[in-house]
Amino acid sequence: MEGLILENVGKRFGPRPIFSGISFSVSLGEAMCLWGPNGAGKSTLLKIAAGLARPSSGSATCSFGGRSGKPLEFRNSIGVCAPDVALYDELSPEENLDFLSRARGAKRDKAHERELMESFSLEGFANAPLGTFSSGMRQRFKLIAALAHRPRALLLDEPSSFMDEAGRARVESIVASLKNSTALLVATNDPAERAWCGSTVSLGGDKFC
Amino acid sequence: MLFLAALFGFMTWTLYGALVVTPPAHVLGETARIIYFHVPVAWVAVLAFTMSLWNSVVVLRRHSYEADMKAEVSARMGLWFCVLATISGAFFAKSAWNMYWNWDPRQVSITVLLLVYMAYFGLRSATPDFDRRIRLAAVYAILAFAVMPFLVFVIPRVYMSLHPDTIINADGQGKLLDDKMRLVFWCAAAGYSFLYLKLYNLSVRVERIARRKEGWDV
Amino acid sequence: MPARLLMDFISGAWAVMKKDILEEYRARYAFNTTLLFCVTCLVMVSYSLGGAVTDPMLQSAMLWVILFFSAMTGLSRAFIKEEDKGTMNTLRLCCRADHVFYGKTAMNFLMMSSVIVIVAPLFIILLNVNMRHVGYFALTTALATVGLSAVSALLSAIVAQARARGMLFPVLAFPALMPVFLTAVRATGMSLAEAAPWTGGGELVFLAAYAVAATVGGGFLFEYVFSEQ
Repeated sequence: MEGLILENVGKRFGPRPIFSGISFSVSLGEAMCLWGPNGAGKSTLLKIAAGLARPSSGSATCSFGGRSGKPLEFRNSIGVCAPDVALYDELSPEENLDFLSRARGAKRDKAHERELMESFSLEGFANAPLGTFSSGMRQRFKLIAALAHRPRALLLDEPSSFMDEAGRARVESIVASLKNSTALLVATNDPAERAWCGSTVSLGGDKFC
Repeated sequence: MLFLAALFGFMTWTLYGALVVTPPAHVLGETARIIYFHVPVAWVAVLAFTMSLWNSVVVLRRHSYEADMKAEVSARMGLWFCVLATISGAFFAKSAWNMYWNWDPRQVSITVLLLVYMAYFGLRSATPDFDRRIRLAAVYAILAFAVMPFLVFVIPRVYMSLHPDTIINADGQGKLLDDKMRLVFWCAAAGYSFLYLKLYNLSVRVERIARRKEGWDV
Repeated sequence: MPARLLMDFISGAWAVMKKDILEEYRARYAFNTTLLFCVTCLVMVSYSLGGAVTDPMLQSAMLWVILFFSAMTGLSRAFIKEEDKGTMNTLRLCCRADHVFYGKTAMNFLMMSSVIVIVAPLFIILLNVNMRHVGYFALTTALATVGLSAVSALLSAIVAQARARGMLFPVLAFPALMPVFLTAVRATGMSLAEAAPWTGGGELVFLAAYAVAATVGGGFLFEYVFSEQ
């Protein structure tokens, strides 16, 4: 199977358990929603899947191209857009994308980047520092940065927050176009975003479903 | 309980030996009796810091909360014994060199050691996230230990030493101690080491109970 | 294959360093304040002493106390700024740990040596220093700065994840940097004295050994500080 696999994952902050015993997998062409009330651990679980946080028990694995291992071993195959994964305010979108691709050791696909910038209506801002962007524009660019290297697994935490109607529609159409080729994991409280996904993992009981 | 009673008896006997049975040393006279206290205490501090280092390595390899707890307990005990060694050393310095503190290389090194482990506890208390805390503290403990050889090399070049191990150990074999003194000295070293082991075990048990009360499943 | 790995390593570390240079150029996080701090301290020392100090050891001790504390304010920013802006996770996602460590160490070295290049002539002028062995002094500061940069990068990454960072950094750094500090003071004192300093050589060898240990060992330990795994 190609995709993300979480096995029996649990997280506790010190002695306080947040969640435990969560198992699921998302393969290419599947979309999974992490659903639950605030504080149930959606973002934490997403970070565990991305390799940014350590599970207290269980394991998160990635499997692409016949190889499997920890998520961070697949830097070029994973794209993450989350509130605590920020980009550089002093650099322009162009410089940010340049840094990200160099850091990954990957070739830049400039045509693809331009396409993304255009579809999020940011094409006129390629050289303005990110610090001058509004929060909605910033969120759009975060999504662009998460998509620029054509990731095979896309992990999104409340992707359309701060966005206007048009922005939300753009996110939705892009997600729809990627759905068949990508493993998609979305942590959200928004029913519209939940509707993108075929299946749901509920955290913090079923209070919210 | 039996162990404690035996240890108590043994250490009382050693103390009697140290203060009454052994003769005063050459050159240093009565003040030399401090070696039955000061040297074992310093040795235990080194032992405790080494235990802490070992457990820190285990933390990095296996991310073990248990090892982190042992590293912390060892570092805390090492710090206390280090303070005792510093104070007893300062008293000796007062009577031998007429100054509590004269920046002897030993005093410089032990000050750095105290600072390192105070910084270690400062770092621990400043890191609320548990998984982060155990990693960062372990890295710092290893870093600090790795710096020690450099200090041992540098400090004697900068500061002059009057520390009496050069007098006692002038021939490299400690011949200036007679047989009785040597026996009492080794008994004291063994006694303090066992005392350390006992205290260490107790602290680990206390810590485990405290964590279980907080809701940990250790 | 090794050549390929080396190229990857260099380009990864350079990506991090280049990004830092750009950021520093745009926002002046650390360089300006560090330099100003150094110059202010130097002027204060010079005023308060009225040029009365002629002992080379004392002069060199003053220089290094100033440089040490300026490094404490400037170099600690390396990772604190990433953690504050939420970009630390971006680094974790995109970069290998060793690329980040060596990129940051190189950036620290660049910044500290630029400060020293400006401060050292001022030190000579304001304190009436007679610099007799310039080459020896240059080598001393270069080697000491390598060790300083690597250890500061590691400690900055540690401190960035804790609270009360500004105060914690010097506390953690002092014991770890003490060997470099003491040796640099002695070696700089020797470069100001009349006797030829090259004959002994022990100081420079020691600084070089510390620099190697700090860069290699720091890179090894950094993995554990950087990744949450």
